[in-house]
Amino acid sequence: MPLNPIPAQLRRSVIANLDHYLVEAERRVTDQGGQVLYAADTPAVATLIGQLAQDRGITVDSAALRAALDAGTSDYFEPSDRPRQHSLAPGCQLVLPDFVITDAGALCLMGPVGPLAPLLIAVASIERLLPRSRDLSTLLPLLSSTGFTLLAGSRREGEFEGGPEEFFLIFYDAGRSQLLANPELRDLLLCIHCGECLRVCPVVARSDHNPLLPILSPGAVGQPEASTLCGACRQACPVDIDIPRALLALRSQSATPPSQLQSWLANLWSYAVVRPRLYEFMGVVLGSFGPLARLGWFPQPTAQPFRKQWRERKR
Amino acid sequence: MAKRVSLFVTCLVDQSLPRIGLAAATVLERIGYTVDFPSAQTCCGQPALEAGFRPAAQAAARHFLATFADAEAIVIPSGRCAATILNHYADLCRGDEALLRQCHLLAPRLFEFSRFLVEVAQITDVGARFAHRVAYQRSCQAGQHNAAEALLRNVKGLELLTLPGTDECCGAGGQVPIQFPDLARTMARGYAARVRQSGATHLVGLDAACLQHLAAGLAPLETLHLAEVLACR
Repeated sequence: MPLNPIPAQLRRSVIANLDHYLVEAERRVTDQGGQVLYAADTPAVATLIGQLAQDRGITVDSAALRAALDAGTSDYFEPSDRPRQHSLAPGCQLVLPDFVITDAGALCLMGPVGPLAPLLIAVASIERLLPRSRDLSTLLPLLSSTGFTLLAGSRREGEFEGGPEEFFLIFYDAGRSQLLANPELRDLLLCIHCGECLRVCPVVARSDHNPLLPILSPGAVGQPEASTLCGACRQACPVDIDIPRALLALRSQSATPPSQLQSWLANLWSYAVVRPRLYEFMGVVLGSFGPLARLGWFPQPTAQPFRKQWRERKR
Repeated sequence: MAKRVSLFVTCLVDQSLPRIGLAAATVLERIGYTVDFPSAQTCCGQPALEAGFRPAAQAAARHFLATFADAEAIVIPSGRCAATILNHYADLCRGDEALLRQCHLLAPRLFEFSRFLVEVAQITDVGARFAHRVAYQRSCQAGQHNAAEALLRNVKGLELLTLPGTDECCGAGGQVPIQFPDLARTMARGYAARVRQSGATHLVGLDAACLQHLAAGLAPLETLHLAEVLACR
């Protein structure tokens, strides 16, 4: 458990009541003069944005739009590097908030934001919700950033210039509902993308492999099998995600099927693992085939096995 | 009546490093336990779990839970295998209520070797003597506790060196040595360099797999399981 339990408790309460907070966020954002839309995945988000722009006579460069969405939603960037504001066309901007604050109907973006276009479209995955504005004081200290920006709704009559004429917030799912239904992966929705796990991971520090990518960015294709499962990330995680547990679950659900040899060995192994004598025998047999032994299913015997020495010792 | 413990030596110790199992039994007997070795034991299921083969890991978990169902206490001279059972068996048993109940009944009786000595047997001095300079590897998955340090500090003649960076993973975990051998070697080299700089003559750890992974890069320094040090007199 992290020393301070409050961030984890806060995030758990959000994920446990996600349906409630989504409805509440829609109501509050609408109160602020915005409009809330929902999309199943990022291609659906791109279609929605294209339509919103087209309805206003704006042509959006679809390649630039996909690039902006991919950079902000699929891949993980250090919080300070993640691009949050993109110009899609003259008069049309995309923003990618870090949090959507339910009670204020507002967006929180780490770092500064430039002048806003008349048509402002925000895109957020459904788990980026916070119940109250004051929850920022719990989570912002965990994110390394020099400041943050709050955006709330569109400009209303009588207000000074500067705000957007029209404001849309698109919530997208992209597999989050499936995570929510999976007890071993549900905790990934707690992630606030602080990057602490990356900073302590001995694999990230010493190689180009990133076993944490699918943790930080649900749905991203990463290398969960490149983790040594040492648990340093779990110790460091301020919202108490059991990352090794999630990595093991991801390995069993890998999109790429295991090789035929691996499947064959796994079947042989599960047959032998409940038969002690056969299990021991397989170690001796496979131990003499270097390439098979290196796949690591059966330990390689190097001495009189313990069970034999134990029997002799008992005599 | 003598107190009983059941020893799960792990498949690696059974077949590759039996001296660790024998040392663990010797220490447990010395402090007054009757040691039982259920001969049906095989593997906890870790290789299958880590390679993503759930049904195979479930078969191993089922077999383990049946083999040790009646044990009063189960002692495991491996941080990783104990962690597999304590942290992941509940996930493997999900969907089978009877098996899950068995898992919940067994978990409080299962201990990694150093934890058993300090927390259950409540002993930190087993009367061992080992006059060497020793670096200690915590073994990431053995958990955050100081049981092994407490035991090592009471070994006569032993100089326990504290060195920076030995809490870090040595690269033996997961499937990394199998799927990413270069990475595993790089991590082992870094770890071995820190141990060598310390001036230690022995590296003592809680897990045979980690020690085996480090042994080649550490020679001529010796790698020993904690049980082997505690068995010395």
